[in-house]
Amino acid sequence: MAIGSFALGCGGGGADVGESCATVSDCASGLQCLDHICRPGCLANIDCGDGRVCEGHTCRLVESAVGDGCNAEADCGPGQSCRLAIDVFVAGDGTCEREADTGGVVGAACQTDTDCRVGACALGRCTELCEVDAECLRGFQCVGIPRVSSDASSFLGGYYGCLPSRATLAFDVPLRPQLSQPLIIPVVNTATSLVVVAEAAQADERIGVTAVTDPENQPIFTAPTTVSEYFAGALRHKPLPGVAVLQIPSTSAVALRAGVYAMTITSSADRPEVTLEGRRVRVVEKLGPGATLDLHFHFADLTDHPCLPPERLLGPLSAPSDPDFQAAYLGRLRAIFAAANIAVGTVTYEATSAPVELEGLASERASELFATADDDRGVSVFFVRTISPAGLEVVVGGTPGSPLPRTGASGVAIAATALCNNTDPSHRNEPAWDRLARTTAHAISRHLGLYRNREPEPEGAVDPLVDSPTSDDNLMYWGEDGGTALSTEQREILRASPVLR
Amino acid sequence: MRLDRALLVAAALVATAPAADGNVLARTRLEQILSGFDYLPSRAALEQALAGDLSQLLVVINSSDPAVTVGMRARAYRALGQFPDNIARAALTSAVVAFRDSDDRLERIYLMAAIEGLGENGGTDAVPALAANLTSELRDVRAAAALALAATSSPAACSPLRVQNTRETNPQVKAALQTALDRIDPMCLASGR
Repeated sequence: MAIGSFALGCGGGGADVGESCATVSDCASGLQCLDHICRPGCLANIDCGDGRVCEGHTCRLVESAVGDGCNAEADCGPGQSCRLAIDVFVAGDGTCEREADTGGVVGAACQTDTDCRVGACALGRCTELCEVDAECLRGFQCVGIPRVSSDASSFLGGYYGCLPSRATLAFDVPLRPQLSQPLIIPVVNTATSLVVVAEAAQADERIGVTAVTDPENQPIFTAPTTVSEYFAGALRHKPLPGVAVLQIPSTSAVALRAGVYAMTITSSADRPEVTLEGRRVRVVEKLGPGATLDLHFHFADLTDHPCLPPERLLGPLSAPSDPDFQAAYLGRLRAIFAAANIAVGTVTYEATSAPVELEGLASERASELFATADDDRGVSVFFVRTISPAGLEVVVGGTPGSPLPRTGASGVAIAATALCNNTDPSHRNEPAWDRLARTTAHAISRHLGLYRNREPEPEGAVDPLVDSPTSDDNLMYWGEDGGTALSTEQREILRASPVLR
Repeated sequence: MRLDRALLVAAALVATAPAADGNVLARTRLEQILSGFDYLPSRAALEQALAGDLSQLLVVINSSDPAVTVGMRARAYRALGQFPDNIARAALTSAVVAFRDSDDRLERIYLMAAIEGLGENGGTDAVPALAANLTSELRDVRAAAALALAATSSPAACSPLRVQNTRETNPQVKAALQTALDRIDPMCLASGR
């Protein structure tokens, strides 16, 4: 590999941007002569095009031969790309290869390296190899990426690649027809949270993570065998029917580390004929900070609901301009999350597309409702008429819920009957929006990964947070008397959620 | 129809019940677990909180303490359904009958909770009271009644469900009726109904 000389320099001629030139001396000061045209000086490689690098505001042609070693895309000349050998230990080094004619560009979705025109596939996105941030597209940065074999069974070293500075990336993990499968999960050094979403083929079929070892090879999780073990674990998770979600961090006691996590995924242990074939496991990583919460309200038909005044309609058409919904409800929701430095961003309103029978939601069928959530970012909040067992005002898809749409854990449901739950006699006929906002914020926070601060059953079980607030005034208290306070650690866990952008 | 809750549950408040003074109810363990909006208390937790005195649930239902909320009363009705007990059945049946035609929105909430509870513990004896709600003007009540009838597992529920299924026009209730019939059909067939 070599950097070839190019007709570039500090200029001083009279030709302006876009005018022809033979050498840089033909161009006005501050311009460079590139491809015989005067152009502005470059700031980054992307300004120079394929096979050139930006050095001192001038583009230089890179000369390399196919087969030359490389550490970054900038090491390879035009028509070439720095690629990693597949399923071979890489130790950060690649080889200049002829750039593919087809495939995704940097940032495009991919499953394997061969899906990408250049570089490698990492976290489900095509990435260029790099050494410094300046080699990456704007909005991307050069991050350390653990290399994992195509069957997710082995760690193959590490390399640096360009990935979005702020994004939530998701990728599928290949599963084999066996009851239990060890997986190697790469976590890049800019990741702020890791979520594993395991989905069964049937709603009554259990699936989930049964063991986790962190990048320092320390076991941090073993599936609990008793209720008390579940609540005692710092990292809470258990295989569940339909869909199970594991999130790190869910407490500062188990911090997220860059490197590879070894996990074991298991299908229904009680049904030996059920293997992982046809099931789905997706990994979600949130890169960089992000503290904007999008809310997507999905309304059942609430016509003639007993907890809404007869003349009042609440639905996708009225909610955006309904003063109570906007001020008392959404306004309070915004205030609650603002205390965690989370801003409510995009808010959308739709009629639910779920089957009509789910308008009166039996909690055991809530996963069917949540599977209709098609919002790619944020939280899907379903307003249903009733929830059974009677008295439930919310149902959550999980703690944490799925940050991905269209799973059985992709949202929270709110019963409109909760609007009757107003004890103030002077407001007997007014919906209890303020209380409902607190209830909704509690449910959304569970979706984002916070547990109840203390459990109603078994009494005495508390959340796994280090600063463990157990008071009634906390948002995560499960009773109607609860407040909206959040501890420092609760705020941090919320902000790390990949649901936020 | 308006109804004094105190009168409603009077029959069930047997001599063993303590005086129903709302002020003494300030956040007992029972009230605390009934205030939970995102979970159904287990029967074990309720038994522990009740300390063997089921009528405490009726005291909550009947309380005039402003700290006892609509949600807590609804959950108390629903909690009664977890006890196969005559006091519980009597209270639930009374509520289902008394609130059937109520136009009070809160009583309708209690009605739905009581219907669900009675379906859980009422058995065949509960079928007439539940079936009467299949024709409620409120679709949520009709749907709750349909599913509660199925929960009784009583062949006596087959006929009213089938009849209402031919008349019902609301899609949500129609779906609930079908779900109920699907659940109870094996029992209907086995009993020849």
